[in-house]
Amino acid sequence: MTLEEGLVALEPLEWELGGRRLKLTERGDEGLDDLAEVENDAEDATGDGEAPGEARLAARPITLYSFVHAPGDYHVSTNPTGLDPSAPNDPAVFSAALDEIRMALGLLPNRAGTRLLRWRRAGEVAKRIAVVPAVGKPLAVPGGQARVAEADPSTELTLRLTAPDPVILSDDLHSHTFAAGETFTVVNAGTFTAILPCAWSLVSAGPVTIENLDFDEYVRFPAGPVTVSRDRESVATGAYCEYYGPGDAWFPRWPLLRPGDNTIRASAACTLYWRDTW
Amino acid sequence: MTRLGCDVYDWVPGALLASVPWTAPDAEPVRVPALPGERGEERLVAVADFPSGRFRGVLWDASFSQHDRARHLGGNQLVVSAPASRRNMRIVGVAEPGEVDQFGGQLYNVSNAVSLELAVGSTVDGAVRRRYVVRDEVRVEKGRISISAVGWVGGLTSDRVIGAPTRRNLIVTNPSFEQGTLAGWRLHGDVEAEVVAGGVDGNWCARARGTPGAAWIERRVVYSQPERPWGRQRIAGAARVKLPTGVDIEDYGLVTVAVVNGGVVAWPDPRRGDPEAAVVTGDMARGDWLDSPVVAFGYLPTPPYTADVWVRLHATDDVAWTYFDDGAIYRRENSSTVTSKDLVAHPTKLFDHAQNGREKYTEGRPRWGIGVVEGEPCGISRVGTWWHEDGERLDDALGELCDEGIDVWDLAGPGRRVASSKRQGRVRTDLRINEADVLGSFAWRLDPGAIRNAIRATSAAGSVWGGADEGLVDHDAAAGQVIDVVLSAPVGMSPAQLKVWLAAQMRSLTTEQAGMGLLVRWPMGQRVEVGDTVPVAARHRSAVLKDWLRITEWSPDQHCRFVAVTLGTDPERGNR
Repeated sequence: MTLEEGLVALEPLEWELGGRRLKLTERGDEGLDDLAEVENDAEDATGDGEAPGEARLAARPITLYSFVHAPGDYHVSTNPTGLDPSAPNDPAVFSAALDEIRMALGLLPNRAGTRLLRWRRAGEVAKRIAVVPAVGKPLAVPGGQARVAEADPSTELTLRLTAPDPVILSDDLHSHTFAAGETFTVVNAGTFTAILPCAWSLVSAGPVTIENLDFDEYVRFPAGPVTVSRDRESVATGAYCEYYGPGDAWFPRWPLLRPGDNTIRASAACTLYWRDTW
Repeated sequence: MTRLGCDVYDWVPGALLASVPWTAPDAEPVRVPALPGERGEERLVAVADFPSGRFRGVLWDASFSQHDRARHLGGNQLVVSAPASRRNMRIVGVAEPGEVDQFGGQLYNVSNAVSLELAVGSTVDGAVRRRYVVRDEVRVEKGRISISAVGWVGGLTSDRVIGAPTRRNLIVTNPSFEQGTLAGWRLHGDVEAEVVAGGVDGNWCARARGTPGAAWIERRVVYSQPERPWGRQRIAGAARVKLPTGVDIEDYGLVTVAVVNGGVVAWPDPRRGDPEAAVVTGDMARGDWLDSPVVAFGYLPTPPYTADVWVRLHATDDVAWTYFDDGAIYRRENSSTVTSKDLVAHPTKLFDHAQNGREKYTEGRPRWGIGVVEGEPCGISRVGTWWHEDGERLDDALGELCDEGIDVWDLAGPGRRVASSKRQGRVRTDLRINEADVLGSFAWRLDPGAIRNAIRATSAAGSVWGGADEGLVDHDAAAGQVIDVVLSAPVGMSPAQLKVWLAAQMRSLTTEQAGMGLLVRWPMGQRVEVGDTVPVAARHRSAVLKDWLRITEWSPDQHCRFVAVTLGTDPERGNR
């Protein structure tokens, strides 16, 4: 399991928003289905990794239903009301917990900023998506001020989020270090083909060509060392942003990772990183 | 702290919830390829340096609108809108030294945009299909940067003026006879000349009389050219003139230029006469100073040379005086075709001048590198001359050619190429735009007011023919009404040429002009291009228009997969 520094692998039924654990209620979540399962465009039949065009582009609205609970009370319970019944309802603790959730939905450092939503449903791998608070009221508390004063721990909050990029990623960052000329089968365990940002990124010490042999896709980075990000930014010393298709064509078909097996060939030693996409 | 910040950070229990007014950047549609499996055609925009052509990168998430147009509609245009993300700004901008965002990321500005080239291409073959250069607005708003770019013809050509920015033309001006003598002037033939009062500006001028064509006064300047300048050099002699009254001297020579190189007369060619002589024309005033100088031309020999250039002021009558003042010799930098060439070849010369002429590029820097592909000749040959004293724009010079039936347009393809041909596009007998190809309702317009069925045209005096004047009436058109107009034909046509030209003009003038804008299906739209003449059968309610129409604008919509085309009557095939 490869995670960024400071992140802890999620256990089943754990939810985390911007580094803060959430405790979801029975209603759980809405809007976190696989894109490939979304059917809102009759013209584009869904299929293996195929999603309607609009669904690829439209920001994904997400709604989470969560309890308020005191800091430190992050244990998992299958009983939604399974908090310690002997604990007194302390409005200050309640407010502090509510405040913490509200901060997770607060202002972002800038317009392009996002927070990370990670979760692990029962029987699934951990997934993640980048979110921003929804326009309008991102946090709703039923009962309002009276409920806060009462500090009822069973208060069900509604968190509304928007994911600008609707693609769900695996929490685990897979990687494979290619030898020069090696062909390797990259498995995308998801159900969806991410286009932009795509599923993979790359670090190479020298010039390298990446090909998806199954779909005749090819991109060549003429100078190294080069790093390529998921949104197709290539950074190399001495040259910038340069990549070519076959025959030095300016418009390459960028290799994409389809759900399932992808036969990827790298012309030079490099490390390919990818996440599964849903 | 802002009001929003107070809401968030100074939260009190009494105010339960902060409403976070996060505003999503306006999402613009991006073209979506079909997946999975084989990908369909993706049209993308790439950025390169101009004029070096160095590839900078593809704006992968850009949306763009592309307009291919005929030159008279402003030429091709491209408007690209892309997120002002770090990746995109790295491609389109230059790093602003010392400017970083709160995360330490480099910031970029777009002050270099004038040196950007935008290319539209397809992932089908990865090749560039159209090229554009940024000569229009760059706008940054709502998290996006939008860049307007134009094509070569009508775009890049509109910011070029014929001639060099710094002038180097006047090599000698005389003596407006201010000394009160003819010092420096040589008398030729039986000319009788003297300096008298009453010049253009009220002081001295010269007057001459003698046998017309054999008597003149002349003045010389030695002019040398050690190395080959751009193009063949023409030289001009000029003088202010007051013609005598009461004598018939029309078409008599007035001012001429002679060039003698090493004792050999290089101009005028003794076998061919002097087609560039300034002669007396009927519209020149008599008995008073002409408003503008009378100018004659001569050609300098091939460099290197050290030649004597003479300006000759001719007596026009052996009794009546002809007055001269302000004699001068100019060498004007020119962009001439030198010899008579088909009009289709003229843009080649103009583009050559625009890119390679003196001071048209900076030494050591790359040039525009626009090539001209000449198509089928139009059959009209002429010496093309464009003078930078006119301050004429390259686009206007091309426009004059286009007015005579030459089409100049950007050629699709990977290179920077411009095509010059008798007509742009083809007559498409292989397809027809039917109702089934048209998406949505539309309208068309007719302009009966543009019909003319009687025309009269004059061709101004050229060197050989002396002018021609012809008329033509089409009694069948306009339901027998005579709606007439006077046209100016190209200079120097013979009467026979003028008749042919007139008939060609008549064909278009008796045509009822129709125009329409259509949204056509993608497969149909992809088969046509600007300049194509296509048969169109369009119906709206009970009205129908069935005609050959020519495409003047072509704008594909990548996202919605249709092509907007603008059509107008083809004067050669339409309305028949």
